[in-house]
Amino acid sequence: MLKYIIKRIIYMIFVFFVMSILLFFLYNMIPGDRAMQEVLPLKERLRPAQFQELYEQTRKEMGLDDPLILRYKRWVTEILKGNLGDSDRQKRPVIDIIKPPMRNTIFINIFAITLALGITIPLGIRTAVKKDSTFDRVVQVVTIVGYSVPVFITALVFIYIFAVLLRWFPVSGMNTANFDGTKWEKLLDTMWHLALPLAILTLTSLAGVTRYVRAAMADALSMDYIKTARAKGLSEKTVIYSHAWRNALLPVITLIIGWVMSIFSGAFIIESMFSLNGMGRLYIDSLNYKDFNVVLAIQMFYIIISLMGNLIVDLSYGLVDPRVRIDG
Amino acid sequence: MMRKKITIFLLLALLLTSVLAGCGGTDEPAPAPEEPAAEAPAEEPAEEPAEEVAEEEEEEDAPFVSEYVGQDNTLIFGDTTGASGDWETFWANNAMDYAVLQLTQKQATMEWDFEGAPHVNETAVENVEGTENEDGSMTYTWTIKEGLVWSDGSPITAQDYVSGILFGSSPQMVKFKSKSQAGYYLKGFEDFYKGKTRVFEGVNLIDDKTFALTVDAQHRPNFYEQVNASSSPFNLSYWIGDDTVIKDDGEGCYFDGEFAEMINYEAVAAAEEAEEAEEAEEAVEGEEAEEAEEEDLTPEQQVLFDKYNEMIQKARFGVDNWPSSGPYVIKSFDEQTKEVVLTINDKYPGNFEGVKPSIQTVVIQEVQTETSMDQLRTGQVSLLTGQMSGDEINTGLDMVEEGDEFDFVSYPRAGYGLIDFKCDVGPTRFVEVRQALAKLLDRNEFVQRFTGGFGSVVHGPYGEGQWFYQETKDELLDLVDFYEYSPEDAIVLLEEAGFTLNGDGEDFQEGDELRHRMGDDGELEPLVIKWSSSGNEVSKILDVLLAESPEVKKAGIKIEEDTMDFTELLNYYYREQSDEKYAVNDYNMFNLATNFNKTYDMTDNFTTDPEKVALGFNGNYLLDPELEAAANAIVKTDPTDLEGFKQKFVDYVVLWNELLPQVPLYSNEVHDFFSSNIVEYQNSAMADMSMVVLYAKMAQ
Repeated sequence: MLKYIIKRIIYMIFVFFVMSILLFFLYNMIPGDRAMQEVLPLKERLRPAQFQELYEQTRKEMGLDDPLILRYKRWVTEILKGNLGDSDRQKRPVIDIIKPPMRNTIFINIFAITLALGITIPLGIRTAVKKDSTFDRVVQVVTIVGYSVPVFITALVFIYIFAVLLRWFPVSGMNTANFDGTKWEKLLDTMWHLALPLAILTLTSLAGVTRYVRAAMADALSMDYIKTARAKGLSEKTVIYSHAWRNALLPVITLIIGWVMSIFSGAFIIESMFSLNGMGRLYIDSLNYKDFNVVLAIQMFYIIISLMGNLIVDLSYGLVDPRVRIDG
Repeated sequence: MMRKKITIFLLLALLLTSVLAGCGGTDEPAPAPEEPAAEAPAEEPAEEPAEEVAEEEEEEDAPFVSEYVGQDNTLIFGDTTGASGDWETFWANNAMDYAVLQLTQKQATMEWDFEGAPHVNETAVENVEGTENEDGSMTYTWTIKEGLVWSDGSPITAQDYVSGILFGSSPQMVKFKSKSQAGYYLKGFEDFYKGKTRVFEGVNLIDDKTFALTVDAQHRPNFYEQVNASSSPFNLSYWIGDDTVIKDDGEGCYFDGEFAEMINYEAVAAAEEAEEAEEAEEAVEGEEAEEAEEEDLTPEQQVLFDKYNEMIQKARFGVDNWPSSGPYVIKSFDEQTKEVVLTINDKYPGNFEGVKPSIQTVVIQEVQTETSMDQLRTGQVSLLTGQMSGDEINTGLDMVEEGDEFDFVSYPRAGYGLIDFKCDVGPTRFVEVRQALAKLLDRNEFVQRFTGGFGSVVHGPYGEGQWFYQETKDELLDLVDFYEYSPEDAIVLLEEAGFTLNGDGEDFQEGDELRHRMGDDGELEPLVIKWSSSGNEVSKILDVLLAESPEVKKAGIKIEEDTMDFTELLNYYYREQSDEKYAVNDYNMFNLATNFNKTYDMTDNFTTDPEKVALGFNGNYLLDPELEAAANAIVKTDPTDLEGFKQKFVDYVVLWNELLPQVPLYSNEVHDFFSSNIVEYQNSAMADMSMVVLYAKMAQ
């Protein structure tokens, strides 16, 4: 087991470096002069020689005159030391820029994932047990509609109905303006603001897991050992949850762990529609502004998360299914 | 109650989904009705039931919306730019950061009115005297009034008025990657900025109430001279502590303390002198010059750099301790939500007209364009400024018409969207071709399509709200050509430019594909316009009204559009020297937009100086000495000569309009929408946020 983990970690390091080279070169080969972009607003105020000097100084500060390989070496060395560099746009450390949206994204995703898994797993099991019933069909249709309608349309419809017409919830934002209250009241206020985005995130994610769980459970329920269990006179609850669900869990676990790892992922459209300061917006905004230090930091972070997620999934197989043994 | 509503809501959400899905009913899911699902509720807002629901809610229990509108004397300002907390202009403050700065940094010696005209701020200034010096420079000696204080009650002195200029022009700040050039117009700026001299010659501290700023002779005369020699209080000790103070021994101000020790002034001066004398190699052998060349800090300086970097970075994002000389103080900034809350500074003495704020709390919130009007409607924000999209403006006007809950003001934008020509390559080097293109574009139709009717056509480089335009409007509009849509006139102009032949070198006839002219080299030159486009909404309308217009084709013009990323477009526009493909390119036409600063300074916009042209200062590459002289002359006007300034403005615009380096396409009519409990509201394209808030009041 330990040997396997070490091998996987070595593999992860290799993939990390390959990806870092690819991404760094890719972004730095995009046309455009970042130094010029930065000093251009000062052009009208400076004499030509001063402008040229400032431009050259900015290029030097950004290291744009150095060969790409040297810039990569410098960047990756700093990354390994935990220094993600400075944002070209905001002129401050990338780590400081990422923290607030990351906190928001994690906060939102904890609720979104809990809600989604809390609804989808029981729903998936139930639909599998009641396969081809009216209930099953209704759930299938409902979930696929939630999945199929573009999220911005769902968001607009929800905002119009629940925020503009009924005025139950705010249109957007995370807190009431100038909110004054205890921490608990502030949390409630935040949850009130997040109700609409969370509902939409949940609605749009129902289909995937529900259908996946349903399929896995349906497979498990058709197995001979289920018939045997029923023939033995076990209660239906025991058959479903102790026999079928434990066996259905293996394919589902990949999906669930993937979801849990997605706690760090932003949802650009939802964040934009509801003015939420999250990772999705930060990523897209940084791309639009060609703030590549921020973009690269976010992408490298997601690569690490994905690699770790894969490792956890593989290890979890062994924990969930005693038949699976991971050896080096 | 809140939990109950959330539960009800979730149930309703599921119900809604079921209803939407209800039309399925078979094993196969129905195709998602994307468009109707989005539009049906939006088009039929069912207003009456909605109002009923809202009223019922109010009767049952306190509606959530009351938490917004219930805050007395609070203005909630929504803007699509979220504040970043980086208030000062040294690094990268955005529009909302700047708004916060404007609300907290006032008592400047000069202030601007709504029309963009400067005034001496007599609330803060006791006296100002201008003295012309023998070398042609001009010294403005400012005496500030007694009793000016910071928000914490500490006195504002003359030292505070020179601090910002010294700090923002200092070589130390360059090391902290600041792009500020605060004292740019003042004598001795360049030497001080580069670290050649410890003393800033053009800045003098005379006593606690008096300071003097000397405008360098090279920047005179200048219509905005007094503005260039003005300043506002800056709290130096907040940024770098009390170890360093500003002193003046009669030669000019300098930093006295550890902050100054970060720069080895003598070494920098030695290196500069050596470079100037073209003896760099020999001089660099000197130890001091070596240090300067390497640009590395000595270990002692590195320690100081680290110390001050930490202090400055901390001060940069200050909130509750942020020193305010303006009408408001920052109460809180939430980095998670980008919300800034400001409360009134009761120690603020008023602006140049003595106006003090009356709104107790100002909240700045980030909003999204798509839903901002809904936020205004539901009371989540009370003010939205700068609306330029037809959709949002129409929604806002509908809200105003629906009742008396909302109001609006509108004002012309200080800028315009435009077609920009390169006047040194291809057919657009001929003024007649540029004029012909203007006449082939129906600009009134363009404005209607792009701004939804909320805009106008301008005929030169001005904003309709600028005071000098307003005061010369009648005369100016008599003198400029409106370039009315006229394909017939366009053809005449093209013929005047020599584009009279077809591809075979024969006379161009109707039905021929492309016009040509015989070049000096005996080669036929086709009338092909290469257009670098960012593919935005303007480009799309230009495609229809110009590039693909039958009249343009009939006139024998071919417009080839290349769509590209905006940064890429700018590289082509400025002929960026780092890459050959940008440096030498043959694009003739770009679609861009421009906004004017408060200072209308066109200097070098049409420079013929090769060095400046190579650096892209004359973006149109229109090398016309007469236009250059007219452009440069505007600010080279005595500040007291208002009539002279206006006349030069008219002369410039008329000549510009004739040579037509750009075709102005549209200038928006900007709309601000706000809750009706905001009264006496006014705004203009030249006003900053602090002016808007100062003059507005909340109805009781």
